[in-house]
Amino acid sequence: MVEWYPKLLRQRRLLKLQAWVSAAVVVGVLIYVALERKALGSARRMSEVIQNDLSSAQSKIEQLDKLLGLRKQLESRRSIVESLGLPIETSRLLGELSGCMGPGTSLAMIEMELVEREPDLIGSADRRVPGGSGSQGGPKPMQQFADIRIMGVAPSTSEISHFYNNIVRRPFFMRVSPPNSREASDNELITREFELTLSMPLTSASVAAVRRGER
Amino acid sequence: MNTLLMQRKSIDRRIQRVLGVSLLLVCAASYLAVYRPASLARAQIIDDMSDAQLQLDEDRQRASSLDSVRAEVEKLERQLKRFKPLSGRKELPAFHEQLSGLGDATGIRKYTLNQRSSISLATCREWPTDVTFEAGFDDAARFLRRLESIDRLTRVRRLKIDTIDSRQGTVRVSLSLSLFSTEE
Repeated sequence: MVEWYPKLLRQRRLLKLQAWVSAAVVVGVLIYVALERKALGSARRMSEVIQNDLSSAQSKIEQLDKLLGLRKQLESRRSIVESLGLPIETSRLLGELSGCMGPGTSLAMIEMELVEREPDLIGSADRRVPGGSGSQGGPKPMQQFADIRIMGVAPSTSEISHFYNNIVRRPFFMRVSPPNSREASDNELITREFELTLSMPLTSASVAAVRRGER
Repeated sequence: MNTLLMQRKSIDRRIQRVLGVSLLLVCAASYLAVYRPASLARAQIIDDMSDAQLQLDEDRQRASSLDSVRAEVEKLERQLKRFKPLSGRKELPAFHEQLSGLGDATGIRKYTLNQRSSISLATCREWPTDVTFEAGFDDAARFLRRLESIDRLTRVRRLKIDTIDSRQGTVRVSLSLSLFSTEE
C-alpha cells in the first residue's frame, strides 16, 4: 500500500503536466497562426499600397514620356523656325517704305533677298541663301538678314534726304547706305533718280546685334 | 487491488502516448501547414515589396521632373504659337492649289508658277516656288498680303518689284517663295 500509492500519484501528476503542456502548445500554435495571419495581412496591405503608389508613379512616367516626345517635336520645330529666321511680311515692308516717302517721291524698283552672314563679320561678304541651301553646317552659326535695294524717283535732293532720314529712324532698318542720286528728265520735267540699300535683321541674334548698336 | 492498479497504470500510459503523439502531430502539422507556407509567403511579399519600393523610388525620381518638363512644353507651345505650322509632305498639293488660286485675284496678269525641286535641310525639307505676275501696285500689295495670310510655314526668299508703267502704276513682281515641310 505504501509503495504503489505515491507511484500512482506521481503518474497522475505527470499525466496532468503532459496534458497542460499539450494544451499550452496547442494554444501557442493557435496564437501563432492568428499572429501570422495578421502579419501576412498587414504585409499584403502594405504591398498593395506600394503597388498603388507604383502604378500612379508609372502613369506619371507615361505622362512624362509623352511630354518628352512632345518636347522633342516642339524643340525640333523651334530649331527649324530659328534657323529660318523671323518672317518678313513683304506687304508691311512695302507699307513702311511707302510711309517713309514724301510727296512726289515714287519707287521704281524694290529688290529684297535673304542673306546669311557670320555674326562677327557683319558687313563682310555675304552668303546668299538660294532655296535655303546656305543654312546648313558651317563652323559658326550664321545670322539671317534681308538685304533690300531700292531705286526711286524724287523731285529734288531734299525729298531724297527726307526719305533717307525716315528710313534711318526706323529701328528695324540697319546699314542704310546714303542714297546715290543723279539727275534725270521725265517729259521735260527735271527729277532725280536715286538708289539706296539697307538691311533688316531676321534672327534674334542679329536683332540683338542691331540693339547693341552695330547699325 | 493490484490488478486494478495495473489497469489504471496502463490507461494512463496510453493517454500519455496519445497526448505525446498528438502533440508531435500538432507540431508537425503546424510547421508544414502554417509556419512554412507563411514564412515563404512573407518572404515572397517582402521580396516583392523591396523590388516594388526600388522601382517606386526610381519612378518617383524620374517623375519628379514632370512639372518642369510640362512647364517647358507649355513655354515652347507659347513661343511657337507666334509661328505658322510646319506642313506635312502630304499637304503639298493643297499648298500648290492655294498658290494657283492666288493668281485668280482681280488685277493680276501673266501669273506664272514654277516649282523647283525640293531641298533637304538639316531638320526639314524646303519646297521653293518661283512666282511672277504683273499688276497695279495696290493689287500687288493685296496679293502679297493674301500670300502672307496662308497658314503654313513659308518664307519669301527673294522679292523683286519693277515698275513697268509709272503713269498707270503697274509693276512686275517676281518672288521666290519656300514652303517648309517635315521630312515624313
